[in-house]
Amino acid sequence: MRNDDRSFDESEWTPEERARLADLSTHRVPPGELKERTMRALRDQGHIGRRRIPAWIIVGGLIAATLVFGAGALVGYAAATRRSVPSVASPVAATRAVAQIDSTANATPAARHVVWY
Amino acid sequence: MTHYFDPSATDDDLLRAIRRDGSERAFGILYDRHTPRAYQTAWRILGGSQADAEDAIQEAWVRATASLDSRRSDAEFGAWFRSIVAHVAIDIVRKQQRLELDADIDAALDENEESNERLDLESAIASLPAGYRAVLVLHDIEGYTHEEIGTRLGITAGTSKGQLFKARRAVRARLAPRIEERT
Repeated sequence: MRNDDRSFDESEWTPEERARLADLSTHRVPPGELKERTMRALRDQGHIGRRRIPAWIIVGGLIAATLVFGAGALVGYAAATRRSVPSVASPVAATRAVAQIDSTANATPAARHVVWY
Repeated sequence: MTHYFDPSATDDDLLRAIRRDGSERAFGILYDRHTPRAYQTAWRILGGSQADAEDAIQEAWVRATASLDSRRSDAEFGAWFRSIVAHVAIDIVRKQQRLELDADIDAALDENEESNERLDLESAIASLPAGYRAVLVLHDIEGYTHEEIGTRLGITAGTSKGQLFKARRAVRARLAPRIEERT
């Protein structure tokens, strides 16, 4: 804001006029209620009166939450998969094992030792 | 969160507190520091209308606080805020369809002359048609260049110079009788 083009015409202020212009008041006291009115408007729009969380914290928080959730889901899935391999993949084998034990028990009945006195 | 701010805290400290915490205390100090100067600017551009000047100040503070993040940190806050106020004041004049840059300034002044009332400088400026008044206030009082005024008002720098020429002549015409009376 520079007055770099003041001498362009003959309507230029005279020194006396310029002095009067410079004497004009630069400040005017606004009505007292304007401050409260302005602050109310700013409060309503969320610019003042509450703690504003910076955008980078919100974005960072969302990214961190997503990473933690994703990592938890992966670990959980992996653990669940590993545990279910024997129980789900070989029900037949388990049945066979039981049958084998039964048959083995029949083939070699437990010996009974009777001692007579 | 409540902070204590020394009233002599720098603008940058206050702005940081407003951005970080929405501090009302910091805003209050900033408001007290910069509003009287900006209110005068709005009051002049708006031809002495108190209600319009108040609206301009409120709207300017809303715009300023909303765009603190985009403000250049090396820019002086007071000047930056007053430029917003000038912008808002011109918007208000434009909305009221009073920004007639091709208004017949001589006819407007003739109407005033009929009252045969001699004005002081402040009143002479206020009596100008809105478009002329805006150019004169922005250039001769606020220190804007014609290029900057042209950008704000949507006119060329040449038009701004022409407006200023007529505005000065009109103000001088209103003041001349007083000067003659004194001499």
